[in-house]
Amino acid sequence: MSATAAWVPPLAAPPPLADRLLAEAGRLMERGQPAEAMPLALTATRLAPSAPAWMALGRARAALSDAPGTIEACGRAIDLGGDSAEALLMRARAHARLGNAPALLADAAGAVCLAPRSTEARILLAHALLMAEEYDEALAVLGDLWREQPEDPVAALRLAEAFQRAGRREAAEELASSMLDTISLTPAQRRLAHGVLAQCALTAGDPVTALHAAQRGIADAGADMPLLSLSGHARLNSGDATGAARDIEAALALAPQDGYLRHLSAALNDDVAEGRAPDAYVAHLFDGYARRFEASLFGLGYRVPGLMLRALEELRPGLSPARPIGDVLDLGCGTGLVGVVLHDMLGGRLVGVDLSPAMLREAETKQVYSSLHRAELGNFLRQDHARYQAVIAADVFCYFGELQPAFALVAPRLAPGGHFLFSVELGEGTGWELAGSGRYRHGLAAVEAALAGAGLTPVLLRREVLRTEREQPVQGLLIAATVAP
Amino acid sequence: MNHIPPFRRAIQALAEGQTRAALPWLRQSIAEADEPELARLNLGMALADLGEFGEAEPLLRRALHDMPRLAEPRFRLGRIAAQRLQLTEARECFEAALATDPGHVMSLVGLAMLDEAAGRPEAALALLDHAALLAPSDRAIALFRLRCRAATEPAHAGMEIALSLLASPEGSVEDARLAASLLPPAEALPKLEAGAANQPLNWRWSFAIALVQQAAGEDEAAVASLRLAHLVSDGLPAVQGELGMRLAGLRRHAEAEPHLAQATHFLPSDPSFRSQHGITLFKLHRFSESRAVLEAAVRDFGPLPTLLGNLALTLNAQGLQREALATARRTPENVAGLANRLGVQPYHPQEGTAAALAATARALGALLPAPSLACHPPGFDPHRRLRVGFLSSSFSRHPVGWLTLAGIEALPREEVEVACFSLRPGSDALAQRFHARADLWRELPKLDDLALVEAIRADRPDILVDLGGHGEGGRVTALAHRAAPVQVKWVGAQSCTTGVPGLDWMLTDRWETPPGSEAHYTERLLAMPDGYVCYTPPAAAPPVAPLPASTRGQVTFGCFNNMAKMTPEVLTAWAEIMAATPGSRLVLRTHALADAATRHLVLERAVACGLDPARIEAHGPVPHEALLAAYGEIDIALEPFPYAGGLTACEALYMGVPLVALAGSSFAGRHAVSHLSNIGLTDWITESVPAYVRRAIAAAQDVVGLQDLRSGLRARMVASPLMDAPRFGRNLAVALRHAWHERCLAQ
Repeated sequence: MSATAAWVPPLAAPPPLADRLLAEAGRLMERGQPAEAMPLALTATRLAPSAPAWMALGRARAALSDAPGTIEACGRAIDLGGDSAEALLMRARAHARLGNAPALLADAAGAVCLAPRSTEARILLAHALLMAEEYDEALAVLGDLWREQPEDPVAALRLAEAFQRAGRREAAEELASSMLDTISLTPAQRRLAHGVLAQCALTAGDPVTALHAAQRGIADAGADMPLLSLSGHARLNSGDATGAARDIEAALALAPQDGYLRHLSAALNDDVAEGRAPDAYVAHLFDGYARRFEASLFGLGYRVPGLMLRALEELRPGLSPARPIGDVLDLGCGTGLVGVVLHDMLGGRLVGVDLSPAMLREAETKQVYSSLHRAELGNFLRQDHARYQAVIAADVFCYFGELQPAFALVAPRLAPGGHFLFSVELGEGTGWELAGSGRYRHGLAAVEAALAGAGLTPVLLRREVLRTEREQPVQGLLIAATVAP
Repeated sequence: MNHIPPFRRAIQALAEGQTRAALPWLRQSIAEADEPELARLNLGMALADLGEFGEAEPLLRRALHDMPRLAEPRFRLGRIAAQRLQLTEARECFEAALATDPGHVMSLVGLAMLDEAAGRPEAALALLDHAALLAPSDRAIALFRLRCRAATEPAHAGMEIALSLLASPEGSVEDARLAASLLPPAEALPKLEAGAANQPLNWRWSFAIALVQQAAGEDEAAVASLRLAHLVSDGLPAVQGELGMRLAGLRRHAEAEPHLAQATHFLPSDPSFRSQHGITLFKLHRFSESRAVLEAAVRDFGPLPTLLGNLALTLNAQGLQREALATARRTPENVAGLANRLGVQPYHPQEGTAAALAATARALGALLPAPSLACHPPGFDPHRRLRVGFLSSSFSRHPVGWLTLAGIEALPREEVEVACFSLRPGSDALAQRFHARADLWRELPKLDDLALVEAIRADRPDILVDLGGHGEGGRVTALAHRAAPVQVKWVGAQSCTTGVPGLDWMLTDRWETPPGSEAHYTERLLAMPDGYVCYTPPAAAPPVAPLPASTRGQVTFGCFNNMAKMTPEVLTAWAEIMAATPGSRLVLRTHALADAATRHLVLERAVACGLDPARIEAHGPVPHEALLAAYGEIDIALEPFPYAGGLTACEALYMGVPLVALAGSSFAGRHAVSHLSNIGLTDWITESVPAYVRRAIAAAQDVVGLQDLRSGLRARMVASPLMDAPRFGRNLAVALRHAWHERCLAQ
């Protein structure tokens, strides 16, 4: 007989036990021991499922950073006991942790409906709006809060942060500076204000001012992960890779779970890293970069979009607005530079995919894409069923170590006779390596092997200078491939 | 009801389960010769049920003598022997009971338990089959049989039986232990968790889950599961005791204590709960309660080595150095027993000499292996950068931390790569500084000696410095297996030689080990040119306060060392000093004095030694900064002997308080000699008790001199080698290099 196969229904629970479990769980939560509270609350939900029991479980799971578990528990509590602002807020924060912006927005908005005066709910709503890039609405929520509570530094600092995220540098700087001047802030709040100033400067392409602001924050209120990270980025952008490595390593020590910092630190320290850059790294990198991206690339003699066009012209003789390409998929479209170059010759749909919402917003302003998708490349390819005459990935695979999994997803998306065009930065060995820039370089052999493994055959393979970096040419490969016969 | 004879009343109470209430009636029966033989047997049985084996045993022996044809006394004596872990004797008793009465079911079960514990479930099963024939409706025997069957089946089939045992409405912790032991965690956990989800009112699921988690090293998760089992079982003592044990294992002693107290109250027959309760009380500095618990456990379970070892430490902490050493000497002369003895002997007024300690350490060393490192891949280049490992469970706010941090930080990076092998995770400010200096940091889990040495060897240190000795958390005996080509003993229970064959050097100075000391050390002496440590004061140390005598008009003596260091000889010397210094006071401040009974004991002894209790202030502990600030009310510190203060001496001096020291012969007895010499206060060091007394009296009479000394003492100390970290770091590197050169020459 198997003891576990048979379903033994819970015996009629004497309510006191469930109550005692919840009371003890509450005590343990107060003592900061959520791991020990959790099994008690879980058992209470089994003995006597009730909204308070599920909420107790939700609180314990939230404290243990178990976002899916928190969402489940809050959902059950809401089902059993109706909406409560606490349940919605807790679930919203779990959604935020998982990066689920629409769900976060829905729950934060629900919480504000139930508790319109709650500072916590409104700040979370503003955060949700910022994540969804609804800057005007976020600024409205935070502006209201600030006007109601002009003495509350939390509202003011969040507003400054929102101004910065919305690209309103002057307003952000003015508010953050005035906070530092006039109000007695906690060290954590001072760090946030300095961070806003540093981030403003960094986004505006002024690493010297950014470094100064970050360092002033560290001297003034002690180091935290964001200030060290900002300092590291400022140094990196001023060409001080050694200093940057030190700062990023220190930031990583304070936030060892941060995939973005881990990747950057590995890159700066020449460590062997994972097979590809984490999505958060790529999205974050370009989010901060979007407004200056093109200026920066043109400043670097960026040639890849032009190279792509010329390759297509070679592969499809007679290509012209009169004899267009057909449907094109632009993977990692960024600000839409490839779209701009190709748009005369398209004749079909141009679909753009990128991780960075800020980049996509820039691409949208170009008005050449039929549709733009915020997605990780692999996820998009798995869900898309269309076929394209050309799939283009310009300067995308520098964020991938292993190429074959991505290539294998591209192959089925090529229409008969369709071309897969991409560039890689050329490495010295036969495999791939992570360079100090945070980008991967690939050897020719690695590219060829990945193509073959994905059932693709190269039809054009050319060594090119992709751009110049610190006045040095960056060597790369431009490749076009078709599905192997 | 006066006409009811006491024996009948007793039997009635026993039948109602009122075991404790029956005791006075049984005693009365014996006194009044009302069925005295049966009363003695029943009293012995009742006391044994209450875990009071010490009192029960002679009664049962008498019953055996009076009623030789009864099996029950033999069986009961067997059960006591089993609980005292005297398994051979237990078996003999059970077999004798069965020889008297072949149908004595419980003796069959007793033998089966011994077989099960010895890993012979088949033999146990055969005995239980017999028992089940005799007592076919006994549910406990049926479950025990099932458990043995599960253990004899292949793992998976066994697991299924164990799971069905767990799912049954009755059962014991042993069923859960069996289920937990039969399958690897990956397979066991999902099954057990499914069981827990199906039967949330059955505590045995979460108990078994806890055991699996603990086996996998997930101690916090195990505590969480045990909390649940404890609540669901409604306070079952076996479960609550396990919860207490696990909390204690995580050093959460304040949380563990009430659970262990409850568990031992209701289940006094479990020796491990009783022992851990004593240890936990010790950790909470509740020494008199700890002593009572451990003494009762020794009475009930006999002289088990762990009980005696911990009792010795508790007695020592109460300042009973002679009783402590006598108790430690009752433990077997094995490595653990001798290491325990080395923990108390340095405090002993007569036996704490360098020579006597060396004899104990040598006896310990003789029991250890003396293997050498097979090969050292980095090689023996005398000039290359050295990887120096430090082994400690105290890279934190701990005396070891305060006395080693500055020196390790100051080791020149180009010459020395620092590897920290941490035996216990820490995260305080000192731990962070150790982390920051370490080029290599290893958190080592609990490992046996060979595995520990293997783990260290894997990082190939050239030199390994031990910072634990034979003290709590120390692993110096493991180093007999040799983890590095050069091994050095430094701070951390550094009270005498280690005796460990693989320890090549003892880091010392010329005051700690003056010429002629070599004979008392199995290590070679690696002398630093200044002191053997470098003191790091806390960042938040308060400023030096003005001399209290200048406002009070009378001198205040102080000693903030622990009670273990206060021997009757010390108290007698202090009595002489105080008698010659009218109006003076003595302020004592340490953990043990917060414990009312210990405090009473100390004051009683102080009075016996001639001290006036009205002139003693005895305080319990205060947080570290407040402790330092408390030196503001002390004019002169009196160092204890033969075990002198190490960190405590540094702290007194840093707070502007000079100390009168009596130079001992052991390493522990000369800490203050080293510190005073390094700051140029050699005139405060004395060589005999009369000289110590005279020096203290003279100091007390020179208030102007005290004032001058106090006002400049901190600056003097900061400028001295005792706190000159860069100088210490350079010298430490030179000393380690010297040890390395010697090793290279031997190559």
